[in-house]
Amino acid sequence: MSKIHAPRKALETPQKPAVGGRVFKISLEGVPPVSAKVWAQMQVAARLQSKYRRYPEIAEVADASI
Amino acid sequence: MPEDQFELPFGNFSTLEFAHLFSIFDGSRVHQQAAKESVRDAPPGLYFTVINTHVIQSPYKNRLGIYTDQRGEADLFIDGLHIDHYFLNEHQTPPTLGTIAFALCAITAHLAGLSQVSLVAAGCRGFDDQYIGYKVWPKLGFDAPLEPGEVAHASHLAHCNTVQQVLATDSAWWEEQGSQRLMTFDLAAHSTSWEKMLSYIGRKLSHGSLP
Repeated sequence: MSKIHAPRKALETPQKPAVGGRVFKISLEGVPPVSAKVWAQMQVAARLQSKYRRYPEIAEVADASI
Repeated sequence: MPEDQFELPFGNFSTLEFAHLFSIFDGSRVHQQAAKESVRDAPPGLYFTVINTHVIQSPYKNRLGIYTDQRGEADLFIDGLHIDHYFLNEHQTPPTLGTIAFALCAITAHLAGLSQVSLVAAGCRGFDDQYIGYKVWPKLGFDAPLEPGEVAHASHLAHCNTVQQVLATDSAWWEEQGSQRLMTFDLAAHSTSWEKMLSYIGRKLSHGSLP
């Protein structure tokens, strides 16, 4: 499976972890990609009312509030 | 700050970058879990559940995940980030924390080459009215297609195909008549999403007064 990712721009990450630092390898292996069909199913599901689902919320703050 | 490194499919991250990407606040515990199938409105992906009894309203946990998007050309796979649960404790956190945390998440995701951030912006007509996500997340740049016939009774919105187009034409209409759906933030440089978010942050956070 060819896999093309946009090039990553420079962040502060060093090429190698500092001495003593741990390395956590995080992989999407085994997780299927989201197809157009799955995305359409998600769109339909998002329009269903769910009493038990906790949706992401963010406070709306007043202008220049800090 | 631990000198650890996190190797994700789209690049390597320091502890600070990883914390920004997944909105992990000081003192949090984080669990990783793979979801190999979509669950209702959340895509299959690798999810990080963030537990922080001080910042996140008990008994809830924030949950954000990465996924690979194959909706475009057959061989083009672009990673995205999905916000499944996100709920800060309004009594224990400053009101701007969510906005700042999301901005850091989006900036880090953009620099990592991710394509979009997705979530369900909930509430309003026909849905749970305790939620205001349907009107707040678009102010930060989230967008979605309109439902068929959604603006059929508003002739001045006949040209609109998206939530952002409605907001640009008649934001009061969206606050009154808009409703819950899956929305995305376009992480591409110079997108409408960035324009909206930077404008929002400019209004909400007065210059020179950030901590």
